[in-house]
Amino acid sequence: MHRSTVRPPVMNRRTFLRGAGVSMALPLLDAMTPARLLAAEEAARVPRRMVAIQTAQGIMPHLFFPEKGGREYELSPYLKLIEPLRNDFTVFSGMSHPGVDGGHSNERSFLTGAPHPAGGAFRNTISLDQAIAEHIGHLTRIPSLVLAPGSGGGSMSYTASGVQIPGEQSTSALYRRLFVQGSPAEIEARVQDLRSGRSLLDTVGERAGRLQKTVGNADRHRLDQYFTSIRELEVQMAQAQAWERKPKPVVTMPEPKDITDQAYVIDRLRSTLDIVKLALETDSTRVVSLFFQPLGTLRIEGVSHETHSLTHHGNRAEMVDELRRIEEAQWQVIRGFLGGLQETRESGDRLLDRTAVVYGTCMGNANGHTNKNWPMLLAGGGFRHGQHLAFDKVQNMPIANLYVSVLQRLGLPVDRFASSTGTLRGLEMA
Amino acid sequence: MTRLGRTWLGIALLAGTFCAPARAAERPTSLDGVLQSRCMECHDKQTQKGGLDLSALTLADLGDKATFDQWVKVHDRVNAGEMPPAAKAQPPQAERDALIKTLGGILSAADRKRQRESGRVPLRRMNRVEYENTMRDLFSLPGLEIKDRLPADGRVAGFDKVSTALDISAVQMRKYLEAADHVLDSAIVHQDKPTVFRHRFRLIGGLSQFGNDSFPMKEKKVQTDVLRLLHDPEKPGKDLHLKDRGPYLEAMDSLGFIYRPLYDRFVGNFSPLHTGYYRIRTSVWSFNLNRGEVAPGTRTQPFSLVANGRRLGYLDAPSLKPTAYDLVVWLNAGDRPELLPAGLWENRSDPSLFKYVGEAVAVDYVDVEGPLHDVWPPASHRRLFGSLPLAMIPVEKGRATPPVPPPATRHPGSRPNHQDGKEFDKRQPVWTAASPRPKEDAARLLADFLRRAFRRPVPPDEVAVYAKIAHDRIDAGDFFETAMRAAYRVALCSPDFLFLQEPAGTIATDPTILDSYAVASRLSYFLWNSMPDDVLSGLAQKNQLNGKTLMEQVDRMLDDPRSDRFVNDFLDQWLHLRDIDFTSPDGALYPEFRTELRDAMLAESRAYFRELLKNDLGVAHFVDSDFLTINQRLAELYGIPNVVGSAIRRIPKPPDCHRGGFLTQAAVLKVTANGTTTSPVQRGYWVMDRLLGRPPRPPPPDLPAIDPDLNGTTTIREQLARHRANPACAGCHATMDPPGFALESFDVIGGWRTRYRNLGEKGEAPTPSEMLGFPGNGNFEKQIRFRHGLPVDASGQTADGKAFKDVDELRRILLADEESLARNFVERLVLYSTGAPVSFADRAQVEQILKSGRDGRYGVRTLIRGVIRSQLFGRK
Repeated sequence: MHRSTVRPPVMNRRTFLRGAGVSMALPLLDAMTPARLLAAEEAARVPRRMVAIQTAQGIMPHLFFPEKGGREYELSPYLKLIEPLRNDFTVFSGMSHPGVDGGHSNERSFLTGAPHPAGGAFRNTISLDQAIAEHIGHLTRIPSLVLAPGSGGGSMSYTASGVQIPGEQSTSALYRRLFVQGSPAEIEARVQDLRSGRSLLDTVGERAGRLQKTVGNADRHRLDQYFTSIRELEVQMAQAQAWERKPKPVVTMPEPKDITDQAYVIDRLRSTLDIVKLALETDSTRVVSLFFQPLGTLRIEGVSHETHSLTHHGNRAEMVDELRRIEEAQWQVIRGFLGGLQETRESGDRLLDRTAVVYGTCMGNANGHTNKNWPMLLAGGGFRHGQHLAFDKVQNMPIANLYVSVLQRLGLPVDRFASSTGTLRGLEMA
Repeated sequence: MTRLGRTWLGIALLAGTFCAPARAAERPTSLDGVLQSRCMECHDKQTQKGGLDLSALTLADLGDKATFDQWVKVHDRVNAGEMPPAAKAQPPQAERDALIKTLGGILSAADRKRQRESGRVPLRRMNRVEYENTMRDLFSLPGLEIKDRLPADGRVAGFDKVSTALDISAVQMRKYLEAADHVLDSAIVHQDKPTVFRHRFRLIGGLSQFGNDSFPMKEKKVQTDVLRLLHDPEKPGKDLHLKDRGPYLEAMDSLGFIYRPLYDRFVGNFSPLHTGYYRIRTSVWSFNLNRGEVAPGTRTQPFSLVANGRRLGYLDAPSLKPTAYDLVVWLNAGDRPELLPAGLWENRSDPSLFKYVGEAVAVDYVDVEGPLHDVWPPASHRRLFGSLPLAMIPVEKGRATPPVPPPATRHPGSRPNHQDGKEFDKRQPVWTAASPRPKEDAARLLADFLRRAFRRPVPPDEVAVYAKIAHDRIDAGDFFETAMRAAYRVALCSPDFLFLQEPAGTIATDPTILDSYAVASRLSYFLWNSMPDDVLSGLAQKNQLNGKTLMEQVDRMLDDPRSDRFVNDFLDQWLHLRDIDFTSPDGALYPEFRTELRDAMLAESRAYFRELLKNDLGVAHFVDSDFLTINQRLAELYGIPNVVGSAIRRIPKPPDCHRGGFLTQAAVLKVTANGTTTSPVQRGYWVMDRLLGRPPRPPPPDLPAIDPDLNGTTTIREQLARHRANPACAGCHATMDPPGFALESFDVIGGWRTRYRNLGEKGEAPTPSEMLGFPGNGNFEKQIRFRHGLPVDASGQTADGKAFKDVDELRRILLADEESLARNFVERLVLYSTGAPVSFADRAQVEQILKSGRDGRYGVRTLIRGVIRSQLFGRK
């Protein structure tokens, strides 16, 4: 079993709360008045963030990978679509997660690197975003956002015990969670609710403790898992309770209307990323995972087939052309998102430079469901970009090495993650 | 690890490398001799063929799962005669038998030791389907929808019943909290008995469609004069304003339809304010419409009644004969029930009503009445508060009430509305359970509730824990309801509720024997997928769930409608029927596919299994039968005449019919195909894995998969032949593909085919009669674009050389292996009913169950009874 070396910080509720009073940062906005500025040492610490986005139906490799490696490479057709960002991203080739060989099941291992996701006894491991949130999640109102604006929802985030964290599909619900405060009575009700939730956990914990004395070894192991869940939830609730009475940031963007027609799922992706940008800008969260399924027959000019059947295009020109339109529509959205981060400033820095954005897909070539050479890209986050890092197409570089580089750039004391063998060769901090 | 420890490990490893004979010493000499002489040539340290190094495989550490599994594989491959491979010298049978006996004995003993120490099945939490069913039964809320609020469950071999895959996490825990709140909100009432809403709805669908594809009829004739007023295609822009259309709705006799809607077909603006049972009465019929003239219909048309995606039933509309239906259905507040003309084509070419030639349906009225409550407060509330009366808290400023959940979100403009009852008054009094002796009542109600919820007797000290929660709140001045709710909430999140506890009994000679409450729970979660009822609990209390009584209960439970949950859930997992919606058939290739057919597919397989259960028919029926369980739509798909109506019924199999058994049922053929093409590999794998229990090994990594071709220039078989030319692929595919070849005679929606459909230029165009009920002037050539292209070749040869020319001959080959069909079925039942797969030591008991069923040709009910009677079921 692959184990991440990322460990949750050891902390019980009381020590946590003692610490929380000091270290919990208020939303940090350039527009906020100086009176809101925090202690000098807190302000000096540069907030670093991570956004991971996976599009699950593949990216056609012949339109994505540049031919030559290095800094002088020529942009591929897809990368041309994000040309203004050329010096703000690094494109990779010859990367994959070793042993991740399950066709569509690979999507579950995109952020975890856990091998053989299609196997009968597969058990997932912690995802990159959750590993980060365990370290820095307590610094913001929302420890991490798990989003799935695509068709059918889903999620690519997993807890340390390998349980999938459901993704939020509704943009309006996401908006309300971030920016709508509610009346004092509503706040009080939520605080009460959290309080009673915590006392509930105390009771069921005691009950499980008593039960544990009467059962055998294997049963005890299952109960341990129950205990751990209770303790983790306790910490999360304590954290939420501490944030509840603090004001939520005020934004000018009105609450978006949910796009429920699956044919417009790419518009929902755009709308979601608009809110993600605001969430980062207001420092409401620093960790985002976004899983995207563009399934169904999408309402895009020139597209008349269902996406999944298009990915099995058999290299027929008209099918490839339709699929290209779908993928290009997604690239346009990514360009808008990255462009927005480029333009937004936070204490003088571009938000993009403090936000590492991982974008990619879990299959080398969806047409044949291949498991090597995943199309992957890293933008922003404070790295020296503007290059194509070309690794061996047969002996692939583990994607987890990229993740270790990202973890370290976020300041986490970590030198291993999943199947990593080190940091990513050739990717330097700026 | 300390430095010292690491050094010692290094030395131990070195010893292992250089002193192979020493390692082998713990093996009995009889075993080691055979291994040395017959296996070491390929499986020694140097060669390690197939990744197996027998010199390093120790019998000393069988507690390690990986080591144990390796040895089981050695045992099985030798036992099956696969090892040594045919090309090598074969040991005499006696030598082979001796090895199997010795190794088998060692492995069984080790496995039994493990089971004795920690039990076969570790503590298992409910999966989300069991959770939902349990909540429904506990609170008598049959329409409660809660499972989608919980995270997806882990699976083993396609089943979500396996203890070790049912993990729990903070995410899960948080969702349990939310779910418990939702259930309690649904169970507790805060008002007086609701007003019964009665209304006759005339409009189905939107007002703007009234005059387009729905139209008014009087005395079974289209009201053409009204139609021209509503929407005259020759006078664009002169449509009657929507608000003026009401009188025409009221004046008509029936509302006609010519298309299956692209949009919703809501029953007027009906959306219940209250959850509960509603009576729905309606009258429907069908006809043919020929340029505005009504003529007898070609076939009986189905309507489907749907609420929020839940299918409540199908109603048949016979030709020109209005047929009345009276249904009582469960509706949740905020649902918007729909009545869909499910058998019509969708509007593809939009000819106006006056030009339409084809099938049509009519609805005379839809009467709605409800919620129907014979008692108030309802059973769900009584489960929590017994017969305590509801007391009204009048509306006064500043007067506190228990928290009342917000009303369900309803679509704006829904009926019932303010005309329909006092519950729409702005200021609503709150009603709440009132107790004259709150503390006593709290203890009493909790004692009763906990016993049910925990599915076992609950000792007073345990009740006291929960009573204290309520008492503390009562002391703090909370409402009785609020105080009780806090205690119930804890109970519903406690491990006693969430886990299926299976304490071993008190029998000293065998402490692994389950106590009678655990047996009751195993039974009910097996056959009902939910908690035990009062009868089972009563028998558990009297410790009578054994022998003849146990078997009587099995029969009672299988005959109870709750066993539908077993049939549906077990087939969903065993045959992968839950993937029925995983792909949708390509609209251009399979334009005749619609939800009506999809529903019939599932109903067929379920009804079929029900027949096997009812009559204790043998496992041979998995692949063959002399009867079918179909309805009109399936009969049309299968080419069988004279089956009328949407109800599934049993009919004798007509001669020359290629159907029979699960093997050729449309649902199975659909889940083993994607929406555009079939693959013999996928279907062959399904047969090997799901029916025979011999799943082929997964493909080696990074082999190119096949690109399906839809141009009609090559068939999948031709492409596959190229793939199989690769020796790395040939071995497994020789075993796996043949059943799939035979099933090539069936397309992705389960229809029989002799030629492949394609979207290219090649082949013959279909005739309108193939596209059942396609409108006569619907531009057939333009709308239906696929062609019948290359011929299907369904012949093949099994890996052991038996040739077949089609699916009927394949069926005969499969039938020869009845025992494999039965063994696989029993193994799936064991996993499903006990929460753990069949392990090495369990095999002997599986054989025992099989033996008891052999005389009756492995009757399905006999095997189920056999599993329940076995030690696997009765022990932890």
